[in-house]
Amino acid sequence: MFLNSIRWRLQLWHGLLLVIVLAGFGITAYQLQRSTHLRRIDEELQQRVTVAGALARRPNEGPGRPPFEHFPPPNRRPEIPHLTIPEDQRLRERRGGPEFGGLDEPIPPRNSEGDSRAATPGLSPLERPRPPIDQPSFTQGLPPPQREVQLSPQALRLFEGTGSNSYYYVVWTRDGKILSQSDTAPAGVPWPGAMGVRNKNVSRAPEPIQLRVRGNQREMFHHTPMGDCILAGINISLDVAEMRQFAGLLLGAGSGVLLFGLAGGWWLSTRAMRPIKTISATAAKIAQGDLSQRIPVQGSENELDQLASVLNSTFARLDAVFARQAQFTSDAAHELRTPLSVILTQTQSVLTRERSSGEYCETLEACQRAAQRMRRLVESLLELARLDAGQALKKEPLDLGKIISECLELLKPLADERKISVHSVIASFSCVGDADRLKQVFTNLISNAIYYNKDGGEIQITAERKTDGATVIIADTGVGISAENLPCIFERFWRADQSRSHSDGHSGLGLSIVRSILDMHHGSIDVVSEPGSGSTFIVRLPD
Amino acid sequence: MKVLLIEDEADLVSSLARALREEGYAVDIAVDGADGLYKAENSDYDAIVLDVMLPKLDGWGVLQKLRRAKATPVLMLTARDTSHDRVRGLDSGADDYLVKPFDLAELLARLRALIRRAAGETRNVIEIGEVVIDTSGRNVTRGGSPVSLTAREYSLLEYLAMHRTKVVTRTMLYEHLFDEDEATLSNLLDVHVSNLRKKLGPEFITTRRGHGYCIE
Repeated sequence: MFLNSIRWRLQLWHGLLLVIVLAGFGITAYQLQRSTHLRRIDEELQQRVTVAGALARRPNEGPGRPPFEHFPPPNRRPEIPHLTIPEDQRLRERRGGPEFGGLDEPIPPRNSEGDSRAATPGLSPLERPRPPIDQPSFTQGLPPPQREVQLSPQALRLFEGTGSNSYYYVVWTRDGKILSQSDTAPAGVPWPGAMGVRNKNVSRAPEPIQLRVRGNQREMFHHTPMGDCILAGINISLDVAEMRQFAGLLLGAGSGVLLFGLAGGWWLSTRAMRPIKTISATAAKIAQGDLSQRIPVQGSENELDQLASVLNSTFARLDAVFARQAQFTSDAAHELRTPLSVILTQTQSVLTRERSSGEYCETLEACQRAAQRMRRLVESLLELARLDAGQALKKEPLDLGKIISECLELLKPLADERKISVHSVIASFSCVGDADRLKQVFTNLISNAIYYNKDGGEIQITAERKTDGATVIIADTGVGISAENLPCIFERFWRADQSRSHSDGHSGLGLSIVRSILDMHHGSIDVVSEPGSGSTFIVRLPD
Repeated sequence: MKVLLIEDEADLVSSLARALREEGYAVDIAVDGADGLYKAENSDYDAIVLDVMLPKLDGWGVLQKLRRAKATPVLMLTARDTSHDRVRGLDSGADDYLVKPFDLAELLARLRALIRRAAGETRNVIEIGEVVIDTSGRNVTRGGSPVSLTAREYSLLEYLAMHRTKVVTRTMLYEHLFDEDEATLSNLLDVHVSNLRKKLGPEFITTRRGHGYCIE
């Protein structure tokens, strides 16, 4: 039951959609927050790696290339501008000049070798005073690399703090010995290892800064061309906790919104379903037989009103069809009653006493006439019933002109009897249809033209082919049909003079049968009439 | 008793008229409403049998117009049998309503009832002294023994009996006992009256000179 109910399915889909949307939103929000947070931390780490890099041994890389220049620039300029070595100072450094401007410049220890080297240009490499052990001696004419032992106070501030969430740095030599580390560094920070293979050649390009995550420790390190490793890190457990809290908040809020949304959706669907319930209740009543019921229409022209209108008009049509059926049945029975009463009265009357054979003959003849009438009526009724049931028409090629001519031949004697002259212009052409039934049509129309005509009158029949089909015109000079009666003549059992004596065999069904047959052929029949001068029937049959 | 039959169905008219005449009624016929109305307005009938579906003027129309002038009992004949049609008929002024096809016997019985009611009789049997007239069986007994009467004699007796204590003029008798097709000879009536006196007793029918006859 649940799965079949529209409302439950709606609710399910609605819930599913809400869950997906809320989940997507929540996850996106969380991820954004997280990545922003981490990125900020990473930037800080990068700065600190940069700063801590001052503790590493600087190689003599050749003219004009202090190590820091090749660092990949961080996304944001470091917030400590005074650490950046200005261009002119670098130049001074190269030249070996002793000017080290800026308070926070790494304090280079004086090295007499630099002076002596400059002072003794002529000496061969072997003769030059040897640089300190851990520095490669490929520098030419440049002061030996300067290394500092301690960061400036400003720099140190970056690494201070209490508790677990302060930044720290560690610097190792190329062999893994700790060169220096901050006070805040936790114990046992593993050495990231030697440089990667590709940098064995100690090229000019420095190592990129790599990220390492050890549980809650987020660290960034980088190998100098000399092989030293500088690492800056921070414990992000507090941040992680913060993010978890945020996630929890999102989850909670999301669930709340989901519940609220589901409740709201349920209420909305109830409201939407209410008119549908009304419609189905009314339809049930109608199904039980009360065809006069109609679905109330709000008048707001929404979709349900449209549905209601369509249903109402369908019910009205059904109602009309049933009413017509009932009317037809009642009319048919009524029509049969009259010949029946003739037979009954005739026979009952004749049987009250001894009669002469002549009287018996009269009675029998009257009964026969009545029976014939009933037979004609029953045939017409059956024909109409067949047409109503939509029994498939035969679709055979036929010559319309020939059919009309045949009907005319059959009825000519009747016309001659009343001195009615018939003029016909009938073209011979073929079309597709039910030959027998079309014969019925034209027999009826022509016999009507004869019957309702005046003695010595005329009948004009033309049959021709037009572009969209055949047109047959039958005109008579008869009594005509009044304008008010014109729309009624094709109705069942309708006769011009409602009380006209029935014994002439006209039951009032002829024209309705004609129209039914033509309808089935997708044709049409029209009539133009002038009371007193005559009527003209126009039959159209499409190809 | 004279009955007007207004019906357009030829085969029905012929057998009905014959049956009515054989019942002793004088029968006039009209085959359309206009003619029927004219006859009904201009003659006194004891009952009218009226079909609804008529040319020129249908049964309803005839009834409406007739009721302005006459109170003749009307029996309507029709193929329409819905309650609505019956109500309409009776409310329009018909006294009875019979649906086709009907049994002849029923029609005749209803006609008798209409005529009886119009004459103020409550029963089918009229007793005058020792003469007992059974109107449904159309037989007469006097002192217990049956009296044989011709159809005409019976009709005359029945009419006088139905209108007893009232003077019935010769004109009335002509109107009510002979239909329009019959030639009426003035002394035919006297013959019938004298025959009745012979069979039922000389005091039975009194003659009011200059007025008519009467059964006391």
